[in-house]
Amino acid sequence: MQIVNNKIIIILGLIILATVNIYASGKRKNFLSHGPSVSSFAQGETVLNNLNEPSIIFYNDSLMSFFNYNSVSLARYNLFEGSSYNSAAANIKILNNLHLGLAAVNLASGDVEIRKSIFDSAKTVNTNQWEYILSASFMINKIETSVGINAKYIVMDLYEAKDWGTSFDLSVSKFFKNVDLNITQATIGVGFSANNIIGTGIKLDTYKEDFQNIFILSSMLSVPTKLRLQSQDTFTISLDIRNEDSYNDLYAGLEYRLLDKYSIRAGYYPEHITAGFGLIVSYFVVNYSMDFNEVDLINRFSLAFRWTNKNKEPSTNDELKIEAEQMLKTEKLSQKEADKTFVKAKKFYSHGQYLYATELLQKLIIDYPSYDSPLFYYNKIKKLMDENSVSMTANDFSSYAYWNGYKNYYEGNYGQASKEWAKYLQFDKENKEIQEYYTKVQTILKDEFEEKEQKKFELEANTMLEDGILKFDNKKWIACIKQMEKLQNFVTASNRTSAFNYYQKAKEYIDKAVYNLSLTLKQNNNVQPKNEQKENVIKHEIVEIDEKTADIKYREGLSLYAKGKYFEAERMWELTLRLNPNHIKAQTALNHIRNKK
Amino acid sequence: MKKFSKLLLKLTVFILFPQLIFSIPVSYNTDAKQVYQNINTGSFSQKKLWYNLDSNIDFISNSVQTYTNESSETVLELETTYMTEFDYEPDTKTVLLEYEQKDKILIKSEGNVSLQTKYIDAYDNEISAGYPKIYYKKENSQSPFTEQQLTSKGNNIFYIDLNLDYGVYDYYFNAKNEHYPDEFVSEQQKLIITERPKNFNLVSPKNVEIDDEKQAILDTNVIFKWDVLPGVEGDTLTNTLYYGTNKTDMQKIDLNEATEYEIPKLNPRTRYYWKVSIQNQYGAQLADEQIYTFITGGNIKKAYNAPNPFNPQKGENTDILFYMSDSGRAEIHIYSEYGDKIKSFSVNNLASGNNYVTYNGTDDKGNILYNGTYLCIIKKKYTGRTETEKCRLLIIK
Repeated sequence: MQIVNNKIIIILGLIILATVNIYASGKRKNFLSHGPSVSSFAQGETVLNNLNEPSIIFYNDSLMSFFNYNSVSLARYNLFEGSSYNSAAANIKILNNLHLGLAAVNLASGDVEIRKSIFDSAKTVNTNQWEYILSASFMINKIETSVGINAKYIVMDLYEAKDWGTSFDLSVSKFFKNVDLNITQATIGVGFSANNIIGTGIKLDTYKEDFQNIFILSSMLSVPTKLRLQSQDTFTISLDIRNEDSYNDLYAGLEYRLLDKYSIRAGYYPEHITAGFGLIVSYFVVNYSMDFNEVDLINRFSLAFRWTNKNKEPSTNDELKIEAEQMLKTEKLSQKEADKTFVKAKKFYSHGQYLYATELLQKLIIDYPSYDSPLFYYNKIKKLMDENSVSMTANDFSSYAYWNGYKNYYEGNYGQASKEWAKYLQFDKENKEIQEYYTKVQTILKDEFEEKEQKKFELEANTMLEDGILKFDNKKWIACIKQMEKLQNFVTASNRTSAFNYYQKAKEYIDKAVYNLSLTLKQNNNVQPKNEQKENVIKHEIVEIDEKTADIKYREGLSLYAKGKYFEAERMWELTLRLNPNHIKAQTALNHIRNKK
Repeated sequence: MKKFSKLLLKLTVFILFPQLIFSIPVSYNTDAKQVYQNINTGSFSQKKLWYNLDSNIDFISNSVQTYTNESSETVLELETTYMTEFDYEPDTKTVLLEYEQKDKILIKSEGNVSLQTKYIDAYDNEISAGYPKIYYKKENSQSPFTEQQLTSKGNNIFYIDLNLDYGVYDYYFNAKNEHYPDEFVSEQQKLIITERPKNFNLVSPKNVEIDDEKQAILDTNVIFKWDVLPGVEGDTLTNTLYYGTNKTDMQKIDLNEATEYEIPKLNPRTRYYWKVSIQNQYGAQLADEQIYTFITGGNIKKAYNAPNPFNPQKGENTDILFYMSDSGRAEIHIYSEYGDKIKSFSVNNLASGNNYVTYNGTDDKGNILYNGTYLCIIKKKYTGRTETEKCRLLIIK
């Protein structure tokens, strides 16, 4: 049913795009209708997700405030019949909240045949249109919103007619980081720019033509992806609505970014489908985009050089960085194996061998708690098994037996699991996976003692879980975390198939508790000790110092920091300090990361 | 100090009148004139050398350089700056007749054969009675010069109307006054009485000023042909043909006596301009030389539009021209430089051959396009196949 729904959504989406496409065609556009950013073009010329290219100031220059570097860029693309579009842009951070930018763009027509009448011999000429921009972008710290202004000087040199004019752009943009979407945390961006307002216009022959007003309402949603073990990859959807000449157009773009360095992009804007990639290599950013349209393929290419201002941050930053990198290196030694395991698990998953996949994913979740990806796949399998084991279709007994066997196995109902898989083997005797697990279950069942042990285990694990939940409900976050970690250790040591259910529940509560703890701390910081009750809760919780767990959490924080997960790292170091308020390294790291924000 | 003053003066003169310093006299004559040539630029200038010396002269005019005649020589040096008072009566020839110093061609049918000259005297002496006079005779004739007195027109200008047959004549003037009893005699000149070439008749190509495809001629074997008669029987006529696509820059072809010229190949679908210059052996040219024009035909090899640029704001349209190899229909699509479709329309039932459609420079919604260049794609739809051509439109408003 869900698959059918998805198809309907896709078809509806395509119909909407086609409608917009038809509606969009036949509208006048000109030199000022498009900007020079190649990464933007690869994403259907959407605006917000292009903080690696200074040429984005042509669209919305308030974005400069979110650049954490200075840069220069050059771009060129060949259009049709010898015409080309060339640009250069630069931006520099002047003050903490003030950026300046400078840019120039040229549209060269290539050869144009000039004739006064149809029998005149042609004279071939070239025309040029220029746009020069001086930009300023200012971050209003109080509302974490950036505003920008462009002053533009536009020159048209068309054969024997030449004139120039000026105009202004105003823009605003804001990003919301770590927005909780229940399933994941996202970055959401919104922006608006009003271009070519208060312009002088231009007169080339007899008519004074105003520069067209272009209003761009931009949005983007960026979420981390789980396709790789290291979930630093992000997937971004951008949607812009442009109003030009009183008509609205839809622009849409997608980007998949690996390790914040390599991007693949695709997009759509009226009558154009775009695709491209971006690379960040050392100081350089290379972007390429293809633009498929009715006329011909347009290739766009840009090169940017970026550098940061000299480091003015405290020296602790360096130490922290080195320590974090070392941590990552230490982790990387075993990570190769983890990567292999993850790839293997995904392979099993894609082949429908969920038992094998589950086993590997469980191992990864326990051994590499900082990665979300294995958990993501594990949850997908679990959901699939839960849903399918109760929705049997008459003509698919074998699958039903597989799924039901899986469910009972991981619930510790080995007898029932054995029966289901026996049924399955009637249909598919050669299935090695089921053969293997069937044998495993038979072995367990032979031992009568096992049943009693299982019940005992369940009882003990349940008691610990309930105790942890009680602590969570009483908002004793630290105590809850400790209790749940205790449960995790207990179930992991038991080596039982149902143990992982408890492990995962414990993990969920730990995550929730860490999150709530950070919220409480923030509230506490904002509403100074006036709220005595909350203060007491915190104080009450931090009585018992746990140096060992604190160190573990500190290292976890380092690992997260090295991977660029600053928000999670901050949470982890907050927890470290709750566990051990004397943990100086955690305090230093926390100060650093807060200053950085 | 004095040396310094002199140096300063020289420097001043050099700055103010550099042409004097760099000028050298190139000819002297007794007509109280000197011709100087600027050694830097090569240009010539003429100096009048008479002046009234019965007064104090304070500053040396730049027109005064040197005075020289055969009997004596007085040099006014630039270094002196000031001239002292002295009496001086130059011994100079002051009688002069100004006249045109070149051969004169007169068209008899266009009015009287009239010659004139101007009498000039530096001391305002009246011309003697009976002067000036003209002496003329037919070239190479053994008969003596005929003498006739000129009539005054006022302002010391004298003229004479002559009734002469066609031919070449030698003539000169003379004059005198009381102050200088010797006659002044001008140099001998030529007078040519002739007629212009006549009865010019354009044979081919036909003059076509409008852009009408039906009036176009083939672009191969274009024959320029005309008829013309000499103004005077026996005159030799020289024909020169000029032709090209630009009125102000035409190619020149010397044809001598021929009145026909064939060009094997011209550019197809082009407007050409041409004219003929005809003159007789004396240089008398055909009256009312006219520039003619014609257009060549042929198939359109590459689609184009005209006029380009055009201004739709003024109501101007442009014609998009293309060739159809067979009958069919055509779709016209206008795109921005970025490939945004701006306008689409189609024309049906097109015959094979050259075709054109008119575009008014608007988008599908009727808005006039912005200034700039646009891409026009012509999709020619035949039965079972499609051909595509492109051209570039330029809108300047």
